[in-house]
Amino acid sequence: MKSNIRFVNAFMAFYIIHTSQIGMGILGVPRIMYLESKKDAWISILLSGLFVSLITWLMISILKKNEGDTLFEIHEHIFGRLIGSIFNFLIVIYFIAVNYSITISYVELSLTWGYEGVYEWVGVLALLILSIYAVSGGFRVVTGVCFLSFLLTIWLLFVVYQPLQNINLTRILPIMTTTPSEIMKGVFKSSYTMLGFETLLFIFPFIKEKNKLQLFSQIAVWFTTILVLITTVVSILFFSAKELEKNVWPVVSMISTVHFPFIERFEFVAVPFWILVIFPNLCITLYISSKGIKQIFYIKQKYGIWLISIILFICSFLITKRVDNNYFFDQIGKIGFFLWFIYPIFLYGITIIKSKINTRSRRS
Amino acid sequence: MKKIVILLCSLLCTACMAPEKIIEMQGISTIIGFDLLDDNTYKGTISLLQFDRKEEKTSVTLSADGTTSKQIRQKLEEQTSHDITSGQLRTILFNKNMAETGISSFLDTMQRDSLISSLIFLAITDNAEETINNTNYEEYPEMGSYIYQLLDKHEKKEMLVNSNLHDFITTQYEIGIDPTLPIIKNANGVAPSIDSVALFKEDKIVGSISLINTLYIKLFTNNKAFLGDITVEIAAEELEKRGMAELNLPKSDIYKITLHPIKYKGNIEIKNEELVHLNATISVSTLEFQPSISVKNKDSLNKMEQLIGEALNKEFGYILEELKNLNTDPIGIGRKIRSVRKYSHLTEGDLRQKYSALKIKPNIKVEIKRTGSVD
Amino acid sequence: MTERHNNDNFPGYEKIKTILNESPDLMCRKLEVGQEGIHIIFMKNLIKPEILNEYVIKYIEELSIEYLHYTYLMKNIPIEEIKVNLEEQEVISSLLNGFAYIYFLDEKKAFIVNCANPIERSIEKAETESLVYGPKISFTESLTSNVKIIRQNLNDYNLCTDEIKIGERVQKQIRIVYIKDIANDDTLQTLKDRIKQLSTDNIIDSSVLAQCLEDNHYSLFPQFILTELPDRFIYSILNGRIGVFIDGSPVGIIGPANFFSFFESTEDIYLRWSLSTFIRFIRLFAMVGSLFLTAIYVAAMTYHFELIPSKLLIIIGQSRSQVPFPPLLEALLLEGLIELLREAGARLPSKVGQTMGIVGGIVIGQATVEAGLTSNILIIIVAFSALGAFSAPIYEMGTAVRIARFPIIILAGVWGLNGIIFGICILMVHLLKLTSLNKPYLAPLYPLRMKDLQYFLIRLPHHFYMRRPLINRPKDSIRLKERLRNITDLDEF
Repeated sequence: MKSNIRFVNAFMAFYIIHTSQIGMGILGVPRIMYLESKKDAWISILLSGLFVSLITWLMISILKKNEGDTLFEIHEHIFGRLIGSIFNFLIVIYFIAVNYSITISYVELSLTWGYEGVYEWVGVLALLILSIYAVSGGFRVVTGVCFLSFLLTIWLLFVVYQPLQNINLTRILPIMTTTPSEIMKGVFKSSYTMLGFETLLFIFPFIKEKNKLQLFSQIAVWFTTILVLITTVVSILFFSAKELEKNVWPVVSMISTVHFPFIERFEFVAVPFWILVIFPNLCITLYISSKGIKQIFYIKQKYGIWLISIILFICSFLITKRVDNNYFFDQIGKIGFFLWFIYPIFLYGITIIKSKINTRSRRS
Repeated sequence: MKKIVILLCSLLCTACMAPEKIIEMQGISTIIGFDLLDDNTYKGTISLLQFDRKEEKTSVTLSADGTTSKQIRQKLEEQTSHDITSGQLRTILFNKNMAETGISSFLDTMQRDSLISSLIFLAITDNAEETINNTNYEEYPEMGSYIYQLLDKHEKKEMLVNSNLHDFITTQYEIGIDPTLPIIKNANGVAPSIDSVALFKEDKIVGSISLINTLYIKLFTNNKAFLGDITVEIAAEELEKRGMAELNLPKSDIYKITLHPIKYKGNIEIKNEELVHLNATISVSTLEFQPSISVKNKDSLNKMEQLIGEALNKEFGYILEELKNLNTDPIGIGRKIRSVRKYSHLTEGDLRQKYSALKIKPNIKVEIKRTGSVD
Repeated sequence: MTERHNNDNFPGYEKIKTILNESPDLMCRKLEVGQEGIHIIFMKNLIKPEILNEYVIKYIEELSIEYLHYTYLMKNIPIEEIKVNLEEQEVISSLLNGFAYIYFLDEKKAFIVNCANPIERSIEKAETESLVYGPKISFTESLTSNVKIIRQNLNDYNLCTDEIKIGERVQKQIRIVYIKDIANDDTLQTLKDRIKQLSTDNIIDSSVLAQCLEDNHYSLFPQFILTELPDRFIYSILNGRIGVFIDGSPVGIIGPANFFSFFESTEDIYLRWSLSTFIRFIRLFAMVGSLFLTAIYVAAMTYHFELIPSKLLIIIGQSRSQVPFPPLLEALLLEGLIELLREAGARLPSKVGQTMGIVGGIVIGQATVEAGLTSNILIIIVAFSALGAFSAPIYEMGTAVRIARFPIIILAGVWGLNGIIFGICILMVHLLKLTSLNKPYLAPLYPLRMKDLQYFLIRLPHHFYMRRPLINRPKDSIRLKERLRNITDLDEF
């Protein structure tokens, strides 16, 4: 297994960040947002997009200050080896949990749509094999997976055209009826879907033209925001309120009203196709967490991959109930919110203080 | 590394096959009908496509009694050698009695079952079992396909307001609008056909209007509906009163005009809490005058348009009155009211109360765009 | 040409005879001239007697005595290729290549002259790759004539044909053909290193060599283009690729190859751009269809009957109802049958091969449907996917696609559509990992080079091709200094 790290072009950052944001979250986001901020969910999403865009800008400034390290190295650099490793370990656990949440929620979706009776661990194992195979090819392959899966799945967006014929504009009216606090709750809840931009902190060293990175990551973040916005708005216009509150995966239910002359039930095609959408997520989370293991324990990345995969596989026997899953995703969304929406602000402060101390000590 | 992956793959492949649903093992249900028997038991009738080695016969009709749809399903399952699946289910029929007691609990299981499409058609009939067992249909393999074709034609042209599961449930759950469903007429010796449209209120059927009259509803609910040709009758004295005598009208008491709508635009205008305007403009081409007249100058054309508009408004007024009496709102006036900021707090109960007291003013304008190849 | 005196390495007749195991073909013509005479040693069947008689024996006999010594003869013998400074090993291998060994008994010195008479096929039309337009010439088994063809068509002093010899027992000449100021040095070096590292006793054909040079030996996909068309070879070399010939093979190797280059045919250049773009897309779609159609059929029949539109359902259902096997088995059976037909057709003499096609296609196809062993829908699908696989211009890619189909069919039979997508993912990662001479296989798609897509996915009118494709990293990427457009503008009125 060669870990052939090579540089990738800056525009690849667009695909990496975008594909790691879009995943299982977008299938359920209209409902989650609607439950919180009702008809004004789109405001929450726009706010959340703005927030993410700011954080992205912040992250890139942190990275630029630290001269092209990953977050793992930054932690060691700032907090020292021991405390830094503890921080890194928490991040690794977070990514493992994210990976698991994506896997298990896809498996659940897939079992609901046509594969009832298959054990969960079979699906988990299959997805694990895919991601192990991809990640063992190194960063170049992971990027390639992001890029190709984007190309292979972006056409699914055009499927929205058919539901668009059936929407009713009055459902979103009147606007601005929800209270600001509800809208902010919506922003908070959208975190599970919007997360993924934190990948930036770990791919930075591999990007060729670092000054263009800002542009492409902003495009990626906004593209994701627009996608989420479109799906949410269309879902709100398409479903009646009660129906939207009931559907676990409103987007899939929406796709289920699409039909073509040659395919009767399009959702049965779209659900397997969703593997291609989550595939980059799985690869990136596995890649980052194995990279973290390598950084902490000084072992080969290969062993990290296997170790994490075994942990994930064992987990697949533990959480299998719908209710548990919901709780789990919720928690991940929360932790992710604090970790990647709030924490970078502190990190930015710390790096600035650190660099000021450094320059001062250099002067004296 | 690679070997391990391959090994794992092959292990997975052999060990964990997904449960199979091979096509010829399936009894593919295309239509299911529910009849309410007395004391809360239902009779389910199902038409199955099943592919046996004998080629002539591809369909079977089965019936069973039960208290829930899944129980019926189980009993049906006992009667056939194939697995009954609903992946290709296209239509659900309910008999009128059932519709009177409420069908949403049935629809809930349908929606929960991911195998059942959201685009499945719903329809009301007098007796679902008889309808499915009717053997008079055109060149279709079985009744399910025939009724599907029938409803699909109407759906494609948007001749019905709502007819499929998704539409019905969405409208049902929405505050301020009531769903409708097509009623299928079944008579001996002829193929089933769509007769009229059932009106619902809180999940229960309360009345019906004819398919032609649904055009007034579709003006405001659908964007691209096929309105159907409109025939208007105008009394002769009306014409004279308007000073259209110069048209050299042939002698007749009543004039019938058939119009073909080309384009239309409907808009519900909320004037205030008590008054709602239903504005609509229909562009039409004239198809038929009986007895034949020709409208040439602009002035008389305008008058003619006005006359037709008035006739339509009158008709619409009657229908609205009836809808108000039934307290059902298929047009979605309540929904529109609720979308105004002032009234967005209204609940379903409030709306119902308001609705019966609401003044609704129909305001349909007709524009004769084309007159065919002659004037 | 420095002469080595004092060299007693030159073997005499007796020694050669023992080395060559007393071969009955070994002849020694003893010319009694000078003091002790001259031996001319050669292999009887391998030389051209006219050359030996006319330019060696007759020439020596007609010389006056003072010229009859090594130095003069070596310099003046009227034969184009001579070798001096010989090792024993080389003497033997040269003899076996049809050289004649001229040994001066007095001086104990020798040189060898070329009188070879190699068996050569005349140049014929290409068999495996056929074109509608364009040159019909193809390579032959002779390395010399192959190089000749290339030289003749590509008159550039920068065209290099480096020679490397490999093989422990059977030494074979390999020629690496490239244009010095276009081909990338790293790639060239990689290729040369790989060839030099090969240790085999014999390389029979260039296809064997290509397999030995591959980056990933376990991959289903070919990593070098094998072609017997000189125009394709030249086109590739001009685009910065490197070609390899091996003696005795009518097929040239071109590398580095990428996935899409297997779907371009030189005919794409000869045809007008609109047609060739269309054809290229058809080829790609045919390949995708060939990979997945049967699998989709299996998945739909086994798991996803709800996908089938109502109108098709009855047709498919009725034809399936006759079949006693599960869809997976049915599909594998029929695919296997098609492969068998293809194999039998390829092995049989061409005249019988045609009947084979008829027998296979019509008789067996008809009979299996009537016997109820397969459904007619599947017959159509399998026939389509067989056609699709054959539409790849490079035979090897067609075979790769045909083989890759089977695991996907099995996955579809096990997991339905999810299995197919699983297969797509594995395929995707595999193609991403694959390299050819350390150049990414999926280029220019990944790593994305927008400007190179015009070379591989589509074909534009010729005046768009101002540069060479960058994925081969040519040293000189400018093809035309000025736009060709300007030249054509002059012709307009």
